[in-house]
Amino acid sequence: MSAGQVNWREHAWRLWPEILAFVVFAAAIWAQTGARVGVFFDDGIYVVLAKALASGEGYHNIHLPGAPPAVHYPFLYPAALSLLWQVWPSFPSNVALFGIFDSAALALAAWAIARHARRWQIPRAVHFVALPAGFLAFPLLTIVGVRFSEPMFLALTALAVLAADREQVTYRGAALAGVLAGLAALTRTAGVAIIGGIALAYWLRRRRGAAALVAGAGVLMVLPWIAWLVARGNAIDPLLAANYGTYLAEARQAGAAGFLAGVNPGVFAPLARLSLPAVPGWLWYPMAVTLVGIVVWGAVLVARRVPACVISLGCYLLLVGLWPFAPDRFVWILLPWLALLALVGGVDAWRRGGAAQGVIAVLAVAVSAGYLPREAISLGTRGFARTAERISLPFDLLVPSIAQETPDDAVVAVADEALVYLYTGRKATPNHLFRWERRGTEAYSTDVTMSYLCASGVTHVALTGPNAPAAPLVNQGIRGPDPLLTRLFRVTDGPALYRLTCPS
Amino acid sequence: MSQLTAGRAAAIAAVAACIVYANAYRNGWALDDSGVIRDNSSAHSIAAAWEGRFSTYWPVVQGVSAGLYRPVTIMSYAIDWSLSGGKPWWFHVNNVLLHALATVLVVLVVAPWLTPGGALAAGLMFAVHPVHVEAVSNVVGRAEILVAIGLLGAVLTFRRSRFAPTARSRASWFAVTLGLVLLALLSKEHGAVAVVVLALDAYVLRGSTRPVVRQLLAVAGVTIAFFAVWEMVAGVWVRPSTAVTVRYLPPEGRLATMFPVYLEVVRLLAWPLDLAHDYNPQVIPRRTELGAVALLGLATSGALLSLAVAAVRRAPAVAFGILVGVASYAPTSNLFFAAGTILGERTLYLAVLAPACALGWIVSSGRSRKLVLVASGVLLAVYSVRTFTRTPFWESGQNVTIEGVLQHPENFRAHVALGRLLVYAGDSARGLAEYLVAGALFDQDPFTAMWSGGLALEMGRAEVALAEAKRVRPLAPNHSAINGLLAGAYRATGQWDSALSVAREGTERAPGSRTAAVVYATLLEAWDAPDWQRTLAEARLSWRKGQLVRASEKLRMAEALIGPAEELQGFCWEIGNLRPAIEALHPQLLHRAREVARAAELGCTFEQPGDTARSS
Repeated sequence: MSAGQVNWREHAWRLWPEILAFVVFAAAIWAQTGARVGVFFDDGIYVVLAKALASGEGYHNIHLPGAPPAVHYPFLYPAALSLLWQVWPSFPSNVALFGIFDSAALALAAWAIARHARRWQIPRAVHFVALPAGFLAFPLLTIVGVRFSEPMFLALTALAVLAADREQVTYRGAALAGVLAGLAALTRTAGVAIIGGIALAYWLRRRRGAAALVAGAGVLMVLPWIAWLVARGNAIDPLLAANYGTYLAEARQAGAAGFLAGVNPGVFAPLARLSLPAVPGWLWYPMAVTLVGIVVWGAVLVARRVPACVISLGCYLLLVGLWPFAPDRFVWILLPWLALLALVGGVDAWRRGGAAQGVIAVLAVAVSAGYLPREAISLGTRGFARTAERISLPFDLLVPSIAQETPDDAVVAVADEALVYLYTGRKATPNHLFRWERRGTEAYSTDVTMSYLCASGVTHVALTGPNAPAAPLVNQGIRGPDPLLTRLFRVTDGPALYRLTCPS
Repeated sequence: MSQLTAGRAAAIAAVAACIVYANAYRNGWALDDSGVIRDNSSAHSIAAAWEGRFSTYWPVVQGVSAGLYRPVTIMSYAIDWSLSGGKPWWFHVNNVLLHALATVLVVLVVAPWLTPGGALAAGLMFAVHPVHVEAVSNVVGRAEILVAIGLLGAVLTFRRSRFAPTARSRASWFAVTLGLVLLALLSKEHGAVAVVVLALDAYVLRGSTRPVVRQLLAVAGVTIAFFAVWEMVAGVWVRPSTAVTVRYLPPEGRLATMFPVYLEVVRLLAWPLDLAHDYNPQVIPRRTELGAVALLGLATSGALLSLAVAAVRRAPAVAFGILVGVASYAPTSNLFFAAGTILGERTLYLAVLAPACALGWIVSSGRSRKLVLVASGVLLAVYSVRTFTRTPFWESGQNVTIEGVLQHPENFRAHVALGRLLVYAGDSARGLAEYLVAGALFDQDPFTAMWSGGLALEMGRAEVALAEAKRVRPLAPNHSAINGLLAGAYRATGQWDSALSVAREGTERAPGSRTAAVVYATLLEAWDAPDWQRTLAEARLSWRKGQLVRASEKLRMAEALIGPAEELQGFCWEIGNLRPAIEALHPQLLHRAREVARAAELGCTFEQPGDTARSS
């Protein structure tokens, strides 16, 4: 190896966090989807709340009739978007700016995680393989392509553990870590696990003062949000509590049984589903368990060097596993770290030789056969954006019609109500009401739903397709001698719009 | 000369820039000035410019704009308008001052490689080069000047950042660099070459071992972010603004046309006495195959690039000038993608660095000193005179139009412009004649017929309109407006069947087009078609507008209106063409149509998609 080559490699290694951040930023910009904002529900709510803040209407669900206060989603991400909204107030063009913000957040996360990973004392090759694989994994591209708070949450979490996992613990570093973890909790409520995780890590390192400082700073950051919840938490109609109520209301609905079921071991299932090929269960489950075991082993190996990171991730996964209703994307956002841990564990097992090498070889083949083709196809065909675009399709028919053919003061009951509000300016409300029940959901009866729609002043009901959850409600509404619903149009196997005439 | 410093050289060059453009203040609005400034409310106040900060550079008129996003340039016009009340002389004076500022920056950028005398020569060449006239003497050329100021300023601050002694000052200077890059990007899309220009400067001007990759990555990130915004603001307009010379050409045809253009670029930079405001055909002809001229153009470009690379150590100024010139020209070179212009003198604004640096290097080398000084002086004097005499060309749009035809009668676009001028002046007959000349000079632009055919229809010259529409339709068979023109021409000549046929084809070829639906509905109305047919046409229009409630109503009404057998002309086509809407919104109409078609023995069954096309 010549001196030139050594220098080049050293140079690349020195610049690695910045290079990774740039690549992630460019990929995230490329991953922005053309789907309408709001196809995944949460993304629409974030943007509605950003608009509400930007237009001085407060932290309220301004798309709903009566504009009740927003008590479900913490405010930091909508607040950040609201600043961008003020810079560029023209929706939907300004979504470009939101996309840049999310991409920059993911790039910042990449930079922070790459910097942090240097403290893991692991082979450089692991960095060069695991981090691009984790950050460019198609689920992460799906997330950053729409308006989710996860990229910002990941950036704040990564910065928090970067501040926390220093060899020399200082109060300044602890306070900074606490503030950043608090901001993460203001971005996603699950961020409280990061506050707890970092504090616990300090505690275990016998740095009690620092632990108290982290907890104190973190709690101080989230206090305004807690105060808002205490003051306004009850303002949400109980029928809407499943989507719009506080997490406490969710927990109440789920009941103790939802939690007594214990930690859901399936929290790692998304990782295995992503990585392993579709093989019979008797083969898949052992491989999935082995994969998770390797991730855990990787975490054990680096836990002494970066305890705040490992314990925070553990606390976060514990919370996600414990919480009755946690979508896969709560785990996807950890993919860069999970990829690092898996490779650290795998490399160590390989070095031990013997049977471990055989296991790692089998798993490597499985991941190559499972993850790599999926990733290649998804990136090659922009498959990561397809779900959003597919959900968006019926709205390409619904939105122009609602915007042009309903009165300005119409209130539309529809799935993805935030989307309809954003693109048409019409107040909108869900047309399918449900409540949490243990670890699942239970729909309210059509009578209850219809009563709610009438009480909310709904004038139109829209369906995104014949099999939409609200289809039974419509089927009942159009029947009878004096039907409440009148069909305005129905696209075969597609969306439909009805006029609702409630009994006076 | 021993007293000469880089600062003084910059000042002298700036004064020279002002002197050679001393007559620019007499100019008024010309060509794009009208649409971008005079008639654009966003350019009339700072508040309006701020309000329109995320709007396209060209205002959207009748749903049409260009794929350009230049908010800083618009803001500069708004400031000028606010200060002057919209007087053009003020804008021109500021253009000259900005050009002088760009000249100062050129001198400062090249100074490290040249003697003060050489830097002065480079600055003077940049100041008086005739290719700059379009950018300086036409107000909208300001975008070029601003982007050059941003890029050259960024080069200077980037150097400061690279050689700064402390981390803090490095960061500060780099922040300023990023700001200037953003200024360049928001002035004109050409600012995208900033990362290349800065990298070239770091490559050519060595001396610091500090790596610049981080900074370049940051500049690239800002550039990507800019283009994400640009895509949302202006991306939708990009395709229609492809230069007409290379429009509809495959990539190899585009290159066959462009390689000879590179020779013309070199000629313009070296000997810019013959100038043109427009390089459309036949000033530069469209070519479909690589010929000798194209190969010569390619070879010349390659030789210049090789020279630049070879000169990095021995003549860094020359290398820098050529490489930056190439980089700044690259976005409009049509090499990598089809741009909105094939060649514009204004787009060579920064490329003049190449001859400027070359002259500066020759003067700096000190060889044959007297001869070099005399020759340089003569060259600069000739350039100055040409610049001074060229400036009045941009006095007004009318002057540019008339002089443009006189100087380059082979330019088809100049005849279109003259035609429009004549029509506005009330001389429609001569206007039409100019349009027809334009079409004869270059028959590959379908939109010349929109002028000639539209005017001919207005003048009652239906046969001329028909001939023009027929001529261009093969070029853009799916273009709704051209199909509309042809249908209108057929209608005007009494050929109703052909008119209906073309209008129908228009709706088939552009299934989402509202224009096509309007053309057809209007034709049916004029033809006094049966009610069911007109109602279906209304349903089609509503469907294409996304008004599904109305479309459903119309389809239901049409079902009830389907009349007796003798009124069913075109029935199969109507139902077949609307089949997606009928199947989506009112499938019962399809069942009814099957019954009617069977009963009247129309020959269409509507069993399979597409059978109507055969039967009609």
